[in-house]
Order: sequence, then C-alpha cells, then structure tokens
Amino acid sequence: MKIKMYLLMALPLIILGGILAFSVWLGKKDWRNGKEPRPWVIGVAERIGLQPGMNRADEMERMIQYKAVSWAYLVVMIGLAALNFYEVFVNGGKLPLTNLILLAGVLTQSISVLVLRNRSTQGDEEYKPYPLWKTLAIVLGFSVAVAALGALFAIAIMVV
Amino acid sequence: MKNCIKELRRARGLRQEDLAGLLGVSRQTIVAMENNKYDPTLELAMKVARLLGRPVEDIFFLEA
Repeated sequence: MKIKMYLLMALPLIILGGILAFSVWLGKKDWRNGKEPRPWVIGVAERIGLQPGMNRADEMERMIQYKAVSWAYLVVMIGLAALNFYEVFVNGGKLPLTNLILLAGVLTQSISVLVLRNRSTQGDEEYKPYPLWKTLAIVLGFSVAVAALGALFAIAIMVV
Repeated sequence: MKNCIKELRRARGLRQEDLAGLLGVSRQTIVAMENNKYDPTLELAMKVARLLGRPVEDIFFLEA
C-alpha cells in the first residue's frame, strides 16, 4: 500500500523528468543529413510543443537568461537579508541558517569578481590592483565592523 | 545603437528567417536587432557585416 502511494506521489516527477530527457535528446540529436526523426517522435514532440533539432540558445537568449538570473539573485539576497532581520530583531531568535546562505552568496560574488578581474587584466603591466592579502584584510575588517555594529544595535534594542 | 540591417537585408532579397539561419541565431534576434532593441556582440556584428557585404561601421551607428 505504501509503495503504491510513493509511486503515485513520484509519478508527476517521473513524467516531468521523462519530458525533460526527451526534449534534451530531441534538441541534441543531429536531424540533418537525411536522419529524419520517426513519425511517432514528431507526433509526440508536437503534442508537448517541442521541435526536433532545436538549437542551443543564441546570444540574445543567453543575455536574457543572464539578466533574469542576476535579478533573481538580487531578489533572493534581499529576501534572505530581510528574513534574517525579521528572525533576529522581530522574533528575537538566534541568527538563522539562512544567514550562511546569504554569506555564501556574497562570498561567491566577491571571489568571482576577484578571479574574473585577475583573468581579464593578465598581461597588463600598468594595472596594479590591491594585493590579495590587503583585499582580504579589508573585507575581514569591514565584516567585523558591520558585525560589531549589528551586535550593538541588537543589544540596544534588547535594552530598550 | 542604431542599424540599417532591415534595409540591407531587403536589398538582398533575404527574409528574416533566411538571415537568422545564415547567422546561426533565432529570427527573434534578427527582429530585435532591426528594431534597435538588442545590440549584438562584436562577433555577431562582424558576421552580419560580412554577410551583407558592408563594413561594420556602415551598418551600426552610435546614437547621438
């Protein structure tokens, strides 16, 4: 009985996974040079709104996706920061685990900027960026200052 | 940026689909470029110029 229930619950996921796998296979396979897809493949593809031999996203589509992901990242980070603030200062709880996700996002962004900028400026003798240890020291100092201010603010609220 | 892709394309008797196929992009990208809604990458701009037989600076112009 339980197995049937689990199978029924998993069925939508299995169907979705199957459609995704089919669309990936349909898009990747080379349907040119006389290798026409079989009629049943075309029929199934048309029913679910796909086309055989779909190309990869072109540059405009990639730019659109990139911008959308950037906005989504911003929304998620603002949401997590608001949730942290609410949990700590309104609910009076401990610092939630979402703070770690927020930290991971900010660290990923900062490190990515450093790495990408370093790659882009390789071979440029006139460009002298801050040494890495100075950058890390500034980041650490700034983080400690913000954390100290936040702690003072929290204490002030609790006292009042 | 602005461009004169539509005029040059029509002068060569090409449809938007034809140009998209030759450039390896979607028709929507060609439409967006012709309506000045999308500025192509340098690579695509050079491909457009080579296909239409004109220098890049004759096809794409900076807005004043």
